Amino acid sequence: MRSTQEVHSHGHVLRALVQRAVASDRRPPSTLVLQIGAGLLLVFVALASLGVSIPGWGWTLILSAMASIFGVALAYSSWQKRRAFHNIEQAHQWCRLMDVPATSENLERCLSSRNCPEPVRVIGLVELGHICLSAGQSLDAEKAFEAALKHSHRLGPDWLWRAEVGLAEAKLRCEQLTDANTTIKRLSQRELPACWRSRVHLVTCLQGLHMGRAQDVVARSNELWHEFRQHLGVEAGYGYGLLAVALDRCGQAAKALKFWSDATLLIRPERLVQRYPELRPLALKYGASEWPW
Amino acid sequence: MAVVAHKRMGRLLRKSRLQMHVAVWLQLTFVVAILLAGIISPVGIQLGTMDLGLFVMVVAGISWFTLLARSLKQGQLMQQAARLISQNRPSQAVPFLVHTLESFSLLRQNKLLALLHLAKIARDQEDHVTTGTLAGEVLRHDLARRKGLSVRACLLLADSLMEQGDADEAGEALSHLHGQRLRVAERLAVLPVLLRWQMLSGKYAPAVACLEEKVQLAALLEARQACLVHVLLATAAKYQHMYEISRFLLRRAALHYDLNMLAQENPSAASYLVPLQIAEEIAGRKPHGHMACVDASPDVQQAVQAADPF
Repeated sequence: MRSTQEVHSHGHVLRALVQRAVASDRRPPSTLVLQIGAGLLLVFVALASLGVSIPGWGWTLILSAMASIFGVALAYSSWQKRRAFHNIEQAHQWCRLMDVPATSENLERCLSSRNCPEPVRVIGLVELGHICLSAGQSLDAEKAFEAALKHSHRLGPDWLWRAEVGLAEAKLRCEQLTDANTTIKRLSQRELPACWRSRVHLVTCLQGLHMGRAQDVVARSNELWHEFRQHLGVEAGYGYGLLAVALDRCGQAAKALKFWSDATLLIRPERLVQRYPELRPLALKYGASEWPW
Repeated sequence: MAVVAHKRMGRLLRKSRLQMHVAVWLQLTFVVAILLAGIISPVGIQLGTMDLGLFVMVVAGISWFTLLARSLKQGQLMQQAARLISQNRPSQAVPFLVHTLESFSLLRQNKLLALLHLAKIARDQEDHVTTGTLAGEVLRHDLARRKGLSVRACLLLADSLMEQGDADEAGEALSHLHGQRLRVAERLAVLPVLLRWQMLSGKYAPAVACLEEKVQLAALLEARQACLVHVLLATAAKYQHMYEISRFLLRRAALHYDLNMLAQENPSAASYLVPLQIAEEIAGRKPHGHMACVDASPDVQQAVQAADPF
């Protein structure tokens, strides 16, 4: 994992990336093949207008040239598409590891490409939003998520939920509580797969902490602990951390310490605090689990 | 029930192999025809009122486009099949996959993808012989490596061989991965299979090499897989006398997923898990407050007895 300083130094890179990605909202489709076709058409029109008669072998050569150019254009376009998908996949994995520089580098490569396919660009915006959240740039994250959700029809269900959960968190962090509540309510009412429902509950914990309703979170802490463990993988660590904050606020120090110890056993404390600044008081108050390396 | 009847499977594989050869030769023929047309055209040989070179080129071009359009349509069928598999409806995807294998396509990758999807379905149905056959068929083709399908095929083959108790052959299958530049997603897929093979063949030292990196990578896996990887690493660490690290990994495993459920869902995981937990209890340090002792089913208990205890 990169240091927090390094993450902050990438803040301006992320902001610039969001501005560029959001500004170029409607990119034209790949025009390479169209340009080549139009060029060749102009050549034929010119030849016809000059009254040049083209022999049979001339047509053969023209057809061969057109086929070659078309083939090269097609191969180039599919290579670009493959590269874009590769970059977005890398960005997704780096984003989950919260490696801000590596994620922004991959997103930059993907989003700056002229021939980046629209679905990849929209997924890129979702990842951009999440990495902005990891870097503590909630406003930029919100912009990226909203831009992505404008093209929600381009997103598969998983990406759509990822974008909506991210948007809810970004809005909470930007203190747009009414909007955040609406988004969370909408998500809660939807039939979601178990892992996404757990992620929504993670945001609900954060909502509880922001709205000063820690006791509601505490009341469900055991149930949520098991749910996070069942469905969130390593991200359960964030859930345990948020539960620990709620418990600590309600004066249940022993249980808070235990949950904090679970959280820091899965994720290092500095990374927990980087992702959820709400956990900073706990990091200062309680000792973290020891890692052997 | 087998994903495709074994008798039919052999016929399907033979047919698709033949069609893939034909597709290569046909594409080569089109290229040669177009080149020849370009060469003979300036000579001015006429076929009726038409230039022969032009005629050959038009015929070759039209045939090629027609076959390509047909093949692209099959590609759409494959996408539909992949969608059905991701929606956990594999039985509905099988007819699409079989149709892709049966009908001719210029794009050989469609057939390789269909084979791979069928292998995955067979693995989920615990039909390990079919999985091995299908994955092995994918690996026969160089195209699989170029299209990035060979990693998945190697893993399916190794997995099926391990399930059939052939660790040596599984190692042979995994050796195909050496020297390949793997993407993060591929490294993620490789990690549990490779660890399982290392544990089966007693290679504990390589299993715990680059431990930090492996633990970081396991963080990207879904909960159950991440838990399994931690259990395997904890066992390897124990064999390497890295007791503190083993305890740490087991505690992490218990926070990733319910160990009782893991043991019930995956008997081979139970065979590693129970000795680890017993060792923890003997040491008088229960790994975690939330982790109860494994409530193993008779199958699981049998697997545990067969396992090498510490």
